[in-house]
Amino acid sequence: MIKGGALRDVPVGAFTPGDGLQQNIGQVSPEAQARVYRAVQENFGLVGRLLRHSGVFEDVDDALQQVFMTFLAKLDQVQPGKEKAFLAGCAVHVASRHRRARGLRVQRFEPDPPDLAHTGATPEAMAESRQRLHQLDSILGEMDEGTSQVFLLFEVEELTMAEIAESLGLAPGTVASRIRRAREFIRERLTDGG
Amino acid sequence: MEDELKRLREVGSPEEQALVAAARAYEPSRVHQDRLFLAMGLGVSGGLGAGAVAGSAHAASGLGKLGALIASTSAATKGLLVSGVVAVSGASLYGYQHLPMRAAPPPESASSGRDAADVTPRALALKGLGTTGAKDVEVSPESPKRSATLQAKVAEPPAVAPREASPVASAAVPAPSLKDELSLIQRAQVEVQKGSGSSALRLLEEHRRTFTHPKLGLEARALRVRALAAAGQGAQAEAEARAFIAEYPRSLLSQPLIPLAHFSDRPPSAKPSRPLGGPPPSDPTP
Repeated sequence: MIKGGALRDVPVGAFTPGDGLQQNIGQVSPEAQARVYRAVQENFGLVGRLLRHSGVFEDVDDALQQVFMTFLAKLDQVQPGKEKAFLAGCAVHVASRHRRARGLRVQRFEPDPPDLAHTGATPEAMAESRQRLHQLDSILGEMDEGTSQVFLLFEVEELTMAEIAESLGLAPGTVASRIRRAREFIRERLTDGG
Repeated sequence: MEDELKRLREVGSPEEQALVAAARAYEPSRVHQDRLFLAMGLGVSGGLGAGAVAGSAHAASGLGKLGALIASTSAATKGLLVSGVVAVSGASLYGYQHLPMRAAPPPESASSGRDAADVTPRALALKGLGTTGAKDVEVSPESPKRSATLQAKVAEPPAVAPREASPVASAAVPAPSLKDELSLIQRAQVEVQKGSGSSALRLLEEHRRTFTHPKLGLEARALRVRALAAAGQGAQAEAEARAFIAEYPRSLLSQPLIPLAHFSDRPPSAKPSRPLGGPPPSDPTP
């Protein structure tokens, strides 16, 4: 069972020996290693998106490693089949800690336009995507963090409300209310031309 | 309640849907994924896991240090890449002999009684960044941030026996890729692991000449310190280790160099009989 509260104790940015995270890929069984490998393969995009949309524009490698090293360290606590929910919750948590550590609570724009060259999209499509992402950054940057987290998990990553509730340690009703609040906020911003 | 809250793509306005679609369409670069695999030991050092599970206490002990090294990756490192190369380097310094990156064994020999081994990390890693990973790495464009300055900081290598120009250096390859660079660094890494410091130094010199704007310049520099030690040039290794640590005190790359930086401070009895940076006295791994 995933314990939402457990993630709050993960000392992001302070992964040092002795804090319980020294377990590594070489110290788990082959089956567990395969599970970690699959989890990375299947959820790398999800974690990368969540980190980016949550404001982690720099030190992306650090943040990614923290998420997946946390998964590795807590492998026993994650039920098979719940890897996605765990990693999603961990990603938004790591992103939150990263942003706070850098004092980015107010300013949340990507300093450089996102590099989308690897997507193979046409220049026009890339330009539109960049514009939309900038718009998204702007809106999410003004949104309450807890609300934006739920929005990303529900709308972008399409987790179920139950998964979100579990991964973030929230009551289902809270998840639902945050989704509604996020939508209202976005509608207002889009109406205002945000 | 789930039904009550349909996704925005079903109920939202076109603008809302476009916003969500753009967010969903974003894909992080594969470069980050490659680095993640390397750092976690799932890629180039995919044999690490298998080696430890294969069961030597020595290897497990060394991997503990490796794990700590990897796990200590944090924002405090200021974004310095913790590549598998580096992680393995650190592990070796602490006495862990990782599985050399040799050609992948045939599936039948690798599985040995296990079901086709397709689900084992070693086999899975081989599909992506396994022991032949250097050739399999998919490289995406990336803006080098530190390579130019770092390249200039790499000290001149010691004199080595004259040799013919390497194929990599002499070939008319206009823009060597990160894959090529990683491959070269890995070859040097293997030489260090084997205790062939001179060979490693030659490869690192080749790296210096070939990659004028290296993406792995810092890693190469740290590896060079270990190569110097393995080649028996302890004083030079110590000097370069100290310089590196002074320059990058918070870098993960500095951690495995600490023993080298203080090598001359140790009492003679505490100094290892084997060259620093080389393999442990005995290699219990199969």
